[in-house]
Amino acid sequence: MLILGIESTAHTFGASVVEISPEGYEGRILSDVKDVYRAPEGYGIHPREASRHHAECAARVVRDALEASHVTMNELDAIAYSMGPGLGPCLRVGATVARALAVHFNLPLVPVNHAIGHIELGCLLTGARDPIVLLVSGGHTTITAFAGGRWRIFGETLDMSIGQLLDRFGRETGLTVPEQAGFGGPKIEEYALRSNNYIPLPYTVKGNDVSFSGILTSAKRLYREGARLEDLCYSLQETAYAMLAEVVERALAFTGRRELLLVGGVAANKRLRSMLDEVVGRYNATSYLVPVGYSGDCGAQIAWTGGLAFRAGVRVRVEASFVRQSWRMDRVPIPWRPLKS
Amino acid sequence: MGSVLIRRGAEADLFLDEWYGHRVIRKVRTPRSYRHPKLDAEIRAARTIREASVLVDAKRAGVPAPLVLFMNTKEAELIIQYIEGERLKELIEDHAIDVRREFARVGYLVAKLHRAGIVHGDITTSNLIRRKDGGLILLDFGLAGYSVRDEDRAVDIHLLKESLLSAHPEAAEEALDAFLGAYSRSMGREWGAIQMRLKEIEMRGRYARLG
Repeated sequence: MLILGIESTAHTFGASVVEISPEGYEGRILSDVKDVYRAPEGYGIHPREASRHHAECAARVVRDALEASHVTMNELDAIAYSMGPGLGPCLRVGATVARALAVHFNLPLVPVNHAIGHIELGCLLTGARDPIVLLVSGGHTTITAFAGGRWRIFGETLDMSIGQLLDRFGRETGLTVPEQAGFGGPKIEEYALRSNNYIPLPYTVKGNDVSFSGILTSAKRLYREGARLEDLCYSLQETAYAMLAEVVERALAFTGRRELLLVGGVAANKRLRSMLDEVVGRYNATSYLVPVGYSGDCGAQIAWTGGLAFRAGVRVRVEASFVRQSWRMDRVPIPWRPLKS
Repeated sequence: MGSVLIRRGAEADLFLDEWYGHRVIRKVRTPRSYRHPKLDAEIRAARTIREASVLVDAKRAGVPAPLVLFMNTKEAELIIQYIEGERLKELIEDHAIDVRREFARVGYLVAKLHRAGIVHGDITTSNLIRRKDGGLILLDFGLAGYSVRDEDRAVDIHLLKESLLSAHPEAAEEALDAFLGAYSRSMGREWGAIQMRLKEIEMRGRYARLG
């Protein structure tokens, strides 16, 4: 089956065509095209401006995705779109495009949860079957595992996501990269490599949850007091990532699962990847790290997950195809799991 | 008798050991190579101290818990009294106890702990031991801390509830009923707010144990 997926939850507008086999957990990404909103230097994402960007590039991106896949609209079986969670104005652009195409070409519409999109695409690309999942992005920081029909949240952030921590610290210190939608992560990673001087920062793990506001406040203050930026970047990574690693360890120990999957935009960070490789060693588990090219938001995560959902009978009528800014992943029934051996 | 590893946990290794003629549990928070050494040493030492501190305060408040015999913060090691007895977990499975009576006692015990300003963080039927003389002891204060927040107390209750429902589905209802009856009576006026928090936590739908 051929599925067109549309992603527009935040800074990225993406479209992708995926081929999914009629049975089994098998598929191919035939195309994946995206255009990322660039925030002005020093600013974070502005929902209305981003939605304007999406509206302007939507038609081109979808067309390019179809062309690159050599699939025409008439050959598609369904259209999947990111129903949520995300920023309202941005979500609405993708939903509008999807609805319009669904109506015009008389195709079924399939709603997809963006976070689950990351997880399922990660499983497809890495081969993980029943992992503990660490999802780290601007919008999410969760430790998840599949149980009782849903992707359950074992642990999560109590305040901001790790992506937000990196972006905010980046903005405060001038380390954001406009070409990369104002992300702080890449430059922080670069600066961190130039230090191994650890400055103590608040380490907050409460049960299976983490909290980053202490680190942010502390790091900002230390920066203003003149601490070396490279040292702060290093310490921020070491502290925040160790916190996540600890909850991951707990999850591996408690659940007995032997697979760890890392997904989400921040999954591109090399330090986090190497840290998690070390974590699994103690548990005789295997780490599956999503390929960097597919760690960020993309149409493929929507198309693939949409394909799984479509095969399992999930549809939404156009009239009911609203968007959901808040949509916890553990509220979504997952009829295609557990995977058959 | 030498040192015998009895459990490799997420945070610490547990050894059954002998210490000046006493049978003890040696709990070692092992270093993690993925953490920066300074951060690693700090976390392990701080948590060792906290666990020892909480155990001492719990006992002082009259909560039956093991004795802390020795602490080595540099190695993040605790020597704790070994408690001889059977876990409630097995006793329930073997139908060897009066569930109602025992869980009422657990309710009073947890209330006493909470009123002492301590939350346990991991109350399960594996952490409750019944000695031959009938005494009930609470173990494993590795996740325990100082708190009087309704949220933290509610989490304690919620974790016990989850563990009962998943490990002992048939006995769970009776056990919880007895527990909550005793706990709420003990906590008196403070129960209302805790109960509200408990309902909120349940609605959140988080799974503490995904087993």
